[in-house]
Amino acid sequence: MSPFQNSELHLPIRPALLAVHAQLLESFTRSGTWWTGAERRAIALEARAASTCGLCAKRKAALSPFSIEGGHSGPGELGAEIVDVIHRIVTDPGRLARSWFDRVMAEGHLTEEQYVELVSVTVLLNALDVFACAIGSSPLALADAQPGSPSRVRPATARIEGAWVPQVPVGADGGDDWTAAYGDREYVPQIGRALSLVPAEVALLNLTSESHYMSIDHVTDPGYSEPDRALDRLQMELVASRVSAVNECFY
Amino acid sequence: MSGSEVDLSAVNDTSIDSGVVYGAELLAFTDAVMARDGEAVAKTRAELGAKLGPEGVVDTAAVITMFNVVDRIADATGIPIDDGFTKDMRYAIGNELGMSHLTPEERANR
Repeated sequence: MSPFQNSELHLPIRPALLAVHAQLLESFTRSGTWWTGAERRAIALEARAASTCGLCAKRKAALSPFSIEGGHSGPGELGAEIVDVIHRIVTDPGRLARSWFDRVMAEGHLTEEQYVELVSVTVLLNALDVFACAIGSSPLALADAQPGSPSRVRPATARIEGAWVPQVPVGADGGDDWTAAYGDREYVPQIGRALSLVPAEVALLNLTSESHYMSIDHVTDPGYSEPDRALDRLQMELVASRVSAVNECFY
Repeated sequence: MSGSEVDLSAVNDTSIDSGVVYGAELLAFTDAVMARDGEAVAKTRAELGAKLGPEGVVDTAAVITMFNVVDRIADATGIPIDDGFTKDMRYAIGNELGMSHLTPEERANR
């Protein structure tokens, strides 16, 4: 049964989508790699609140998003600096800059590992809310946080390779870390490696990609379409490009 | 997809016919969802559903969802454009629209 409250529309949501949505929802309340279940839940709720935050709306409209001061609207269970990171990722991602990231890291409220996991929770919660909006449903409710401690396992091979955050190197250089995250693949697009500092989040991203778009193995093959989809590849890419244009993102 | 005649400028100007089947309905629904405008979402969802069926609506919602993930992860982690991606169709679209003008080094250090 669909957890989305859209019974009036009777939209046929594919079982694979429903399964991944349930997995994502559960992951937001479960202890992760660097955050507890309670902290992940707080990140998710803050990400949800960002889309209606007055300060974020003012910043989005401003010539420079860093010129407007104020407080964010939201649950505020996390430190103000962390809340600010979450809100900026949700509401104005196209204007995040290397200088901003360096400042966030220098402030010392987040480690690189925590930052990467926070990015994942933030964008995946936002994704569920976007889907709910699209099908005319209310956002999915989060369960209470589960007990447990973060595993705190960092891939030993992770290093800076061009992104702002460390990544597991491709192939042999990544050794067991690469195999654990990507199996016997010889190539993975940068977007598939962006979260590799926290492999558990790579797994969630891959599941999301397979069910909503396609496996990362096929992304760079413009002739490929998943067989069970109602859109052809050209239609999918038109929609994808429009989303990226609105988000002012090159991807 | 080879042989398809599409007008990429439709991505930035929804008044232009993209040449993609039901492209206007796809873009209108996408814009409504991106604006989180409930009234517009309901209207454009119905219009899209009339063309592509309810399965088409769900799959369009799924693609919109996924690229809100992709864009934010790319922007928040500062990943560079990888070589393979330059062959991808969306890179070509972005390039035509002036969205992919940064080199990997510029992108990583912007």
